Amino acid sequence: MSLGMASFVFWNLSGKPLHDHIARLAKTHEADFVLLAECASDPTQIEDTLNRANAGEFHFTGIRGMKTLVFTRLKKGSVVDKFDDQMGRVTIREVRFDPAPGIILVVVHLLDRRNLDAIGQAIHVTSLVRDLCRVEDELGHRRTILVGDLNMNPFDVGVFGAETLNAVSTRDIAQRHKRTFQGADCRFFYNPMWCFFGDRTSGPPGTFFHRSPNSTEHYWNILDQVLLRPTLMDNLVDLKILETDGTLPLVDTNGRPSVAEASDHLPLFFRLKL
Amino acid sequence: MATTKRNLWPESVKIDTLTPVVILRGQASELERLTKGVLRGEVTSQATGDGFLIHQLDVIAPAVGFYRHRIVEVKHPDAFVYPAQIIAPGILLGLTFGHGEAESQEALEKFIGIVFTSKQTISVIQSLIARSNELTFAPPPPPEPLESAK
Repeated sequence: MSLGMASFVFWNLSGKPLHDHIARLAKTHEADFVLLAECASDPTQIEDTLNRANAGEFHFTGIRGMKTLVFTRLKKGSVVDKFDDQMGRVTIREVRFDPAPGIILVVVHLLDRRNLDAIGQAIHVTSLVRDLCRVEDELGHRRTILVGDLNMNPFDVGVFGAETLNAVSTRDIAQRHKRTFQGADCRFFYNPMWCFFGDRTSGPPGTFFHRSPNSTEHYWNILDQVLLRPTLMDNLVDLKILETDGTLPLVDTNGRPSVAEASDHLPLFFRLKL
Repeated sequence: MATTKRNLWPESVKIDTLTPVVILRGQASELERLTKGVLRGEVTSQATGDGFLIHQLDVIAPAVGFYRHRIVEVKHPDAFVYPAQIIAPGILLGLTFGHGEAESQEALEKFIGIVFTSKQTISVIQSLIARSNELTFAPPPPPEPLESAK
């Protein structure tokens, strides 16, 4: 771990064996955490690949067979399981950065629109929010990061709604820490992903490209997101949607996720000051 | 003309029928009893805002930092608790993967039994018991050194 910093890479692998890409991503970005969704490989294979590539001494944490996988090169015992839902679509971990204060790391791969409509997605998220708030209350702090494939855009109700993730686009609003809605306190997240929309920014205009004949098609979507509680939002020093693994491109000649060579999702990289 | 009253109601009509949440709470207590408190069960409920209630059965391992794992969810309308939808991703419930619909207590108990005996749930329960034992097991004291022969 770099002095006073922790680096994270998240990637939805789309069920493909992208081991070498993962190892290069981890090495290029000196990742302390490699967080994966839709990983069809056995965690031991990923561990081996990471360790053979000298990306660090990684180990898998958590339960096998889950939808989200967490690998870290922090010493064993630094990542403590606090909650998993039935299939590990939601996993909540306590991360200890002794002597720096720890964080709560939530990794998700939420259900998509093929399985759940927008209301169903939002209801699913209210349950996640309740589980998260319980862990925050148990641990007595809200230094929380939520990362993963939300299968929703930042403007979807399951992400911005007060009773859902309540993730707002500016620090100015998030710094109020909570809003009261219908008599209940709803904790804010800061969602820095808003700044990646469109082509007037550096980097790709989203993490997932989809084309259909629907009149409401967005084409570019930001389904993969990093959300931070206000307590941590100023600790975010770097956040990128990645187009290469450090050596090879992860996008095609049109700049869209290269389904043929990699995944239909682009990975995220972020770094936190501890 | 014969006037004998015939009962046309099915056998599932019983006066001791329970709601899904009571069934889940009962199973939570059973888990605690079976594991002698190594694992606890907890049922939480929430209104969905569209006229439904969701009940969630979690297993908690106190020795493993109170780690919590969700085993199953049951969803039903506020007023009419059956049919109840049972949600257990990855588990074959009748003809469908991940969810089933129970029209009665008996059907719901059957689905919950399938979830509890699934490979997925057994792995979680066994892992949590084993990890709890590892953390709380006090190894036997080393044997006393043999007294030297007098």
